[in-house]
Amino acid sequence: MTKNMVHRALSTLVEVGYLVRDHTGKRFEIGPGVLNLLGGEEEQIDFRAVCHPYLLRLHSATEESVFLSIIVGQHRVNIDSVEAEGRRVTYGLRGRSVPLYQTITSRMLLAQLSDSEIKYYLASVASHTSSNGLDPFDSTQLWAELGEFRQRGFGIATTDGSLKQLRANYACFALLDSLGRPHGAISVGGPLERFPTSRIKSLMPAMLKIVAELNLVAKQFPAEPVFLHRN
Amino acid sequence: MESPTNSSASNVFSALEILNKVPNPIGVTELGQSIGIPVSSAHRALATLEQSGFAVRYQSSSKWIPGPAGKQLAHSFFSRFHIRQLCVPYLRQLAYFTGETVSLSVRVTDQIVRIAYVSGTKDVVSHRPLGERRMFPDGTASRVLYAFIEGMSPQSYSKRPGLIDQTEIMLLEQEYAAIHTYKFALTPGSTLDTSEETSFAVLLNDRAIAAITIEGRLRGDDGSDPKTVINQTLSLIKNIEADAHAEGVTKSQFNPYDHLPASL
Repeated sequence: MTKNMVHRALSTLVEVGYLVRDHTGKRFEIGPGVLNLLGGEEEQIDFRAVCHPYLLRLHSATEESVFLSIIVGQHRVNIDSVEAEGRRVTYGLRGRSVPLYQTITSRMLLAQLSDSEIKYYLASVASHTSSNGLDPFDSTQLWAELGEFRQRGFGIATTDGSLKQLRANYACFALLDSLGRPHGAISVGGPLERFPTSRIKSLMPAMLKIVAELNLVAKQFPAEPVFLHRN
Repeated sequence: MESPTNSSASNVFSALEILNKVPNPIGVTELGQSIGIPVSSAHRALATLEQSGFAVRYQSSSKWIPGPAGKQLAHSFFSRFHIRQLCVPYLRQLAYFTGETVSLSVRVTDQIVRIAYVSGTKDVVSHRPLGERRMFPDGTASRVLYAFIEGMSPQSYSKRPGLIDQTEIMLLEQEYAAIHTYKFALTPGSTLDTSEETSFAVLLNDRAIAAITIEGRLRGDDGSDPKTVINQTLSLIKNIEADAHAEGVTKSQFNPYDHLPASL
């Protein structure tokens, strides 16, 4: 573009309010006119529908099972999944409710809450489980893990396996709104022999790219409030 | 001298504005009529908007709706405010403490724009949207922010005919004095117990750079009384102001539109 064309384009953008001069008067800033592009009412977003294409892409990139989870009360609930072929992890049945301190996906969601919310939740769990004589988690270790998840935005974990479950590996990613509140979490899981940590590491750049694209979309609408004191 | 503008570009922006204003998908003829341009120009404007993601066809029909690029651009406007990043952890704490939605507003020219909010757990009905704009004297956030703008005494509002009369100016003067003393504003005519929303000033060098609003009654989720909520909020705001000073960030960085005049 010539200087004249740029000048005309800038003038037009200023006139419609999409640009304003900055405080120095020499440069341009995006202007408040762009707020007209938000439309009137905030949309009701179907979070599952928004995420589903990205679940398919993650499945296509990894060939493993992919799960989408959200926080409901003091639990994590799976609301969508794409199943792998052949031997596959089975823990992610849709609608299954898991406490927020259990499993990597739950902890990834827990990590995205504020410290005061986490403290409230852990105290609530501790009071409930101590009456049953149970000791559900090591608090120091849990806080360290939550700190790591917050810092990295993803986590990797191996499950021990049981009679019903395979030994499996999971990679988990947080989905956040523009204020860092959790919409949900996505986990990709597969049997250990097919989805070892080395394979997760080699697939990580591709998975992170897909999740980053989804997070760009997720940032455009606010996360639902979390009702930790309701079950 | 007025700067030259581009008429085709103006058509495109007019089309974009209409597209975002109408509640339903719009056809090309209707769009052309709304802007007052020929159908062929409306076609070209829509093609340009479609190419850049600002317009998409509605369910493969001949009608159009706004594309995702507009929302992305609007959201990049919010991220220009450094104060937003600074306040978010505190908004969360307040939303958690009160159970009410807590929002952050700034002044952009003569509009008060809601640039962030954290939903409260008591908020089960739909709340006001991000980017909502209010004009003074609508809402407690506008009253708090205007109370701290230099040269905007209540008397100056009388220059705008029909906006405010002398009785209102007197009441506003009293309210301004209270806001300067207590650093917050209640819903006009209410008390601590009955206020439907309460806005607090975030100050940098005695100038309000933002307002934090508790969008509900002043009650802690643990049953705390309004005074405790007020004290807790003022204490959090002191932390924000201390963070702002510690970071040494200028007013223009906290709010890049602070230099734009608050015309009335």
